[in-house]
Amino acid sequence: MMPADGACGGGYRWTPPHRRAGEGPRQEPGAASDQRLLGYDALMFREKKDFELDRLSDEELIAYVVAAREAGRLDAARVGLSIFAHRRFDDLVRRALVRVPTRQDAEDLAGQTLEGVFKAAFKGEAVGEAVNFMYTILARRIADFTDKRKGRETEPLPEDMDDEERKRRDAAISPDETGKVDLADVLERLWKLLSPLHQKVVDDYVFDGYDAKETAERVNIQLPDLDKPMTDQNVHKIASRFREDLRGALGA
Amino acid sequence: MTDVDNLFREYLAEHRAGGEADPRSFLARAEGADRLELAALIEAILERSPGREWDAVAFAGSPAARAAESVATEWDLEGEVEEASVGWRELLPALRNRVQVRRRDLVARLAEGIGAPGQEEKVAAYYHQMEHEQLPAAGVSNRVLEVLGGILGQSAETLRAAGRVVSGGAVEDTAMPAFSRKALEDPQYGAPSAASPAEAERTRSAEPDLVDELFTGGPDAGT
Repeated sequence: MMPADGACGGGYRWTPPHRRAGEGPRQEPGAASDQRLLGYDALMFREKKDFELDRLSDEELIAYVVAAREAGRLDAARVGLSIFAHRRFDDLVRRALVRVPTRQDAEDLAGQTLEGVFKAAFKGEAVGEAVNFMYTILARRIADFTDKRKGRETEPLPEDMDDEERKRRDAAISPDETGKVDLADVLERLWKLLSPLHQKVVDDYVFDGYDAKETAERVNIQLPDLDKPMTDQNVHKIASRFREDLRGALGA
Repeated sequence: MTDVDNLFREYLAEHRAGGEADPRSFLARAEGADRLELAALIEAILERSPGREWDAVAFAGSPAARAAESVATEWDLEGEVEEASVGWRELLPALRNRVQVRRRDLVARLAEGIGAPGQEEKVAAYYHQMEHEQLPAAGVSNRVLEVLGGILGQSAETLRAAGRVVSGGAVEDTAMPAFSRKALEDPQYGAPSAASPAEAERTRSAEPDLVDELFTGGPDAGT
């Protein structure tokens, strides 16, 4: 199970609470830049080492890249871009693969998303909660992609494609299955309706993969003043109710 | 646990272990309502993911690197256009202020770097002309621009592109003096050098040497 500091294998790392999705609205482009608030501007630009950049939040890293570019330091901007791309690209591709049939399409969409994030940042638009902003762009790119595919004849599959890949191509969720419903939004809306205590339980048990006993222990340590201590049975109940609500909201 | 629970936990474990975690492989094992629920959970976990720690070796040659390169190439193309609006008169003092190097120190390092130690006065005169856009960029050698770029944290190409521009105006084939705009200088780093235009003229009229060749002999001079 996950150690106390949240670190675990495979290049995974602890998520600071402010970077959790759902703690801010989906970010729309257009607001003023918050670079200066983050401590970066072109005139004061100072290059950072890789390991320093890797410690920055997404928002700080994007602001750093913008400042580097405005200072004419494309070399430094490229390093920041690389670290951001390495951090986020694979998950963008996976997220796209839920909706599009081929990895090539998913990688194209992820690349377009990366480009869109920095284009907006360079224009001075606030990226705010960067992850939300990024996935908003990706959702739009996926929507454009599926719209363009509508009415088109299905392309013939390559003859040398293996069975596993054939199955995968058919597994992506199609717009016909969801209608206009954005699955991730449905889930986030339900999560926001929960009390802070129940949100913590859902986070630990459903999304962080702790078992019920561990989840109860974590809650009791972090919230020692609860009227009644959290039990693993309560964890099960809270999680089950959340999942039932999710299935209901998805029309299942 | 339901099938969705099992599939989702399995997905979570593969994702955390740094595996492929291709959602399609898991969605293919669920049907109907379970598929939608699983998709929602997978989307949520991906949006909550903290992402990968930096690993330069893993990044090299990866799809992420190719995507980043594509984005950066766009920046380069946009940058070329932007460079055409800033000339040496604005750019050089701004860069000097940014790296916080005094002009006399820059001149000493430049003279040393181009292989002309002891000729700081002459190098200072030419550098003065560069900062005032009085020296044709076409005549300045790559060697000078490379050394200067190294000191100022810019590429030689960027400096040459800026040298073709009259500050505040259009791109010129030959550098004409332009006084329409003046770059703001931090007085601490902008102390005037000993060189003046008159001294520069005297410098030019003396017997040509390596320094003259490097500042007026064209890109390949001194090679």
